[in-house]
Amino acid sequence: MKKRYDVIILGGGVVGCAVAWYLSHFECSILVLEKELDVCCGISKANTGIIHSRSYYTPETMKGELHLRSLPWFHQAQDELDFHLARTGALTVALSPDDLAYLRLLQERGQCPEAEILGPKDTQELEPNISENMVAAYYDPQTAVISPFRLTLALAEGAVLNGVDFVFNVPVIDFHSDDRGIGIETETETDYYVAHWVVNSTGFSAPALAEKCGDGVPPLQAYRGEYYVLDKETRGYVKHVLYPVPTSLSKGILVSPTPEGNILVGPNFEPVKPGDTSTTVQGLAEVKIGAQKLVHHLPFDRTIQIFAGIRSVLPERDFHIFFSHRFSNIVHLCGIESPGLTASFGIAEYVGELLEKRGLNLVHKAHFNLRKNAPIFSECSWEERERLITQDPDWGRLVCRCEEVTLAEVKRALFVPPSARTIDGLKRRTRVTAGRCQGSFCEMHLLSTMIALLGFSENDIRKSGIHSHCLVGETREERESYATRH
Amino acid sequence: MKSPEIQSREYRQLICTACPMGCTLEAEKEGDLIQVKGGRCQRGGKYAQDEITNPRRVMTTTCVMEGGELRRLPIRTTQPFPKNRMDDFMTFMTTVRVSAPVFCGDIIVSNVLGEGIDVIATRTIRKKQPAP
Amino acid sequence: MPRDIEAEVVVIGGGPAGMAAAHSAWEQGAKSVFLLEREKYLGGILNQCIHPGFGLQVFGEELTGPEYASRYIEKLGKTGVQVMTETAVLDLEPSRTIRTVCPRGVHEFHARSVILSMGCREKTRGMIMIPGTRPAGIYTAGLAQYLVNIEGYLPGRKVVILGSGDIGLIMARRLSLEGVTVEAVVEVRNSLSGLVRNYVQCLLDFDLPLLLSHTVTGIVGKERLEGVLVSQVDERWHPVPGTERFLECDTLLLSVGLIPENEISQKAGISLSPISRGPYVDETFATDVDGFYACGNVASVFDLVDYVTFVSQKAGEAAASHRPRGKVRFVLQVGVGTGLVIPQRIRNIEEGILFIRPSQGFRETQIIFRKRDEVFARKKTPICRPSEMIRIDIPSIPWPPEGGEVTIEITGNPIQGI
Repeated sequence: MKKRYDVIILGGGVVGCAVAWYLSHFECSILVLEKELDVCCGISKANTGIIHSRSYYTPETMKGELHLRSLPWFHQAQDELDFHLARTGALTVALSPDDLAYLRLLQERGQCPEAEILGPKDTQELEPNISENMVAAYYDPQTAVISPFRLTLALAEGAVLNGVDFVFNVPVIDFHSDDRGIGIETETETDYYVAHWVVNSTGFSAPALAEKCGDGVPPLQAYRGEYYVLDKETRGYVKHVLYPVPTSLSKGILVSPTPEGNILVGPNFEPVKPGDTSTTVQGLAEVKIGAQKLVHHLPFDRTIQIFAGIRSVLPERDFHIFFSHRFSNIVHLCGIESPGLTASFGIAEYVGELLEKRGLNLVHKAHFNLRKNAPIFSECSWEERERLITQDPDWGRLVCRCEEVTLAEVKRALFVPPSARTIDGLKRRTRVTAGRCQGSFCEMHLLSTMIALLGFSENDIRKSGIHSHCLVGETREERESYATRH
Repeated sequence: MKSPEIQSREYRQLICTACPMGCTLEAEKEGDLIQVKGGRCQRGGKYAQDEITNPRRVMTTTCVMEGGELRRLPIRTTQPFPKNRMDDFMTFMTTVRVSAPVFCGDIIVSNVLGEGIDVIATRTIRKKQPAP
Repeated sequence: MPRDIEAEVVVIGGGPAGMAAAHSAWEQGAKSVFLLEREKYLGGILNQCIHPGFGLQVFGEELTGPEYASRYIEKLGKTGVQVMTETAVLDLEPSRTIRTVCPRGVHEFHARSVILSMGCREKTRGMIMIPGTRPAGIYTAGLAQYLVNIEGYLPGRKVVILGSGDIGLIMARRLSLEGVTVEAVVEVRNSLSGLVRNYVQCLLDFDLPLLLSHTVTGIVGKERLEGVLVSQVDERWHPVPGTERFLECDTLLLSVGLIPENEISQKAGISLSPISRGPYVDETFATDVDGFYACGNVASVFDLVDYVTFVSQKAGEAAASHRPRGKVRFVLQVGVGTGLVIPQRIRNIEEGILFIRPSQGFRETQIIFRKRDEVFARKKTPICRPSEMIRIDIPSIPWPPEGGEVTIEITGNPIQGI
């Protein structure tokens, strides 16, 4: 079937969703096409979740420009999208006198009156567990941490509320000139989409799709970053985002509190084959050593999970946002690496400007719907809890003991579009399976809830991707005799 | 499978499970005569005798529940069941479906596979109440 | 606003420990006893342990897990214990105020005694940091057990099990019976972790290989598990280079240890032992905070449900008696050869049992009680293994007249292999 939109955004990562939400302020029809089963499945899902302040922008680059452009957006976006941002502040830690020059550079860039360079004593007062080898630290009060999932979901839900469509499990394979725009061919034979403007924000796949348009892009190099997640028991052990003085390649290995109360440690920076998100003994050891330079006794024995994320990096180490030569209305977003999460609003606004230049008429909608976050049970007061349970007893049914998530929240995640269809989708929306038991107490309830409420069979239950089946069948099915197997 | 059947004269090593000691037993069978060495007590001899001539296990599994609050009913055999027929037992149990309610201790199958042993429910499962 | 409930005894957790504690608190004469359970049914982990091996000591016959639970559910039905299922405790204060949620609303209990019986949780892949990808098909053994036995779903068709503890062994048998191929049970120690009986009946009966001194050193597979890397390990459990090999499987079950669930206990200011990861308790299973008791696996992971029942009865009686606690007379420490001892505090040498877990298996075992340099008691047992706690009656030990710190050591001939 042929479906027409004004704008089609390829890729439902944080950038794609930010572009969709931004454009949904205006009179145009928008579709997000995502090859996975959910938003936030690629590069967006595994990163530090830090909103880097002005102090950390890179001058004279597009990523620096869009970083600065993005920061003021957070206030408006918080009003319109109601997401949680924890302004923890940051300390950039100098471990030798040579590092002091860098701290001064940050202060200069930051232009923040409350920011200052602190001596060891003042730093220790702010962060008692910091390494004793520290000679000074740059304190930046504006740095914030955010859940990358929740930001992406807020953007996606906000977009849906304002008329944006999302289609999942549809990989794009080619582009054609269509009488009324650009035709997008997908892997599913029946679905064919046409748009006047196309935004290619497919992360790692962006160069390959650009290639399909005849646009040459230098190859992206994948850099893997490995992380540790520490138990919420460690809450307060580190209060600020702790940056080392960066290397020439990356921001270095950080120690950071998360908005949920865990401590996140990482990443390292290793070149790998695209898509290689394996953790390794060596990589984890490197992260550990790096983090211990900042916080000597970091309680790694309270690790609840390890993971790796990927950064897609161009040789010039900058964002590369450009129009296709063959299809003048396709804009490609390549090399969106750190600070991509922070810069997402800036990127969205910039993409809007580019499309406007190519004829998209940005007329504000008469009515724009604000997204209101659903209550997060674990953060509710006892009065609110009582009120919620009176409305719906499912608020009193705790599914996840570690993160205190109720059945009502799981149901919301299953029914509010773009809705969760996988276990990881539920995790990203509600934090089920993200706690210390990693799902060993709740996964069975999630499976049976999905089966009961979505009409799924056990074969429809997936962890994340289309081939990531959690179950293979039922015990009553025809058994293969173990005797015949031996 | 390691064959429990012993030919005319055969040696077999067994680990005794009669108590936590876990003695390694050397059993030698000639005709009907079984000699057991290596145990620290008399129970080893009896254990080896049973394991060689007539090994049995209490069988537990689940069967399909119909109309119950839960999807599966746990069951067990009331007596140890011949080990060499475990597979038959499991295959047979896939054919058994039980309707709710069922009470812990209810006989689900009498004289299962002609072995003179019953299969009983090991949990009480009530009828599923229709959603309001 | 929360609805207030005054209670004499509140028991948190309706598994075997909580059921026994609530029952004995009632029998002891407590007037209002509440048993709070998070799930829909009482019984806890017993409900999914459909295999036999429970109750020989408590009921004098061999039962399955659900039967053992049923017996206690029946016993509770004959008391005035008020059972609240689907009720989760979210807050606990040292003043013994408990806040809960359930589908009927929020409640605030004010209890004279609180019994903690929340059980334990399983160690996960993240905690033991197995490197590699993060595909579907990696389960803790307990979750897999729930899926198979309660829900009737199969997690996979070709399984590797890491850890030769009893849950791992039991699942190897259970899955084999259901027609699933168990490729191997992989154990980092040089000896079996579970019971010998389970080795025989779960592995030997089905001809399943046990790889001692091996561990899983990598996870392979993008979306669903495709296999694991298995390596031999040295005495310090470090992988031996060059021994890594690929085992094809679609499922990895982890049976690598249990951790008492004490996040709520900490809210009440109860201090935890870094060894048991449960509260420090005395012979009545009283914690160091007045009016709080901890029994069953929340105090320390026990190997038999019968022991859990025993210690929970003790806790229930003590919680209902409200008698003032004496001073701590002995503080017990683990020494060489000892992995764990519970209780760690002794107030009254006239009652109770010591449960001691050796750190490895020994034959011709001696358990040595030492106060500074002076050995004041020796107990002998022919064999001990980490999978089976040694039990010693507290009154049977000739405790020195003045109290103090006591170290418990275990010596003997180390067991290797099975």
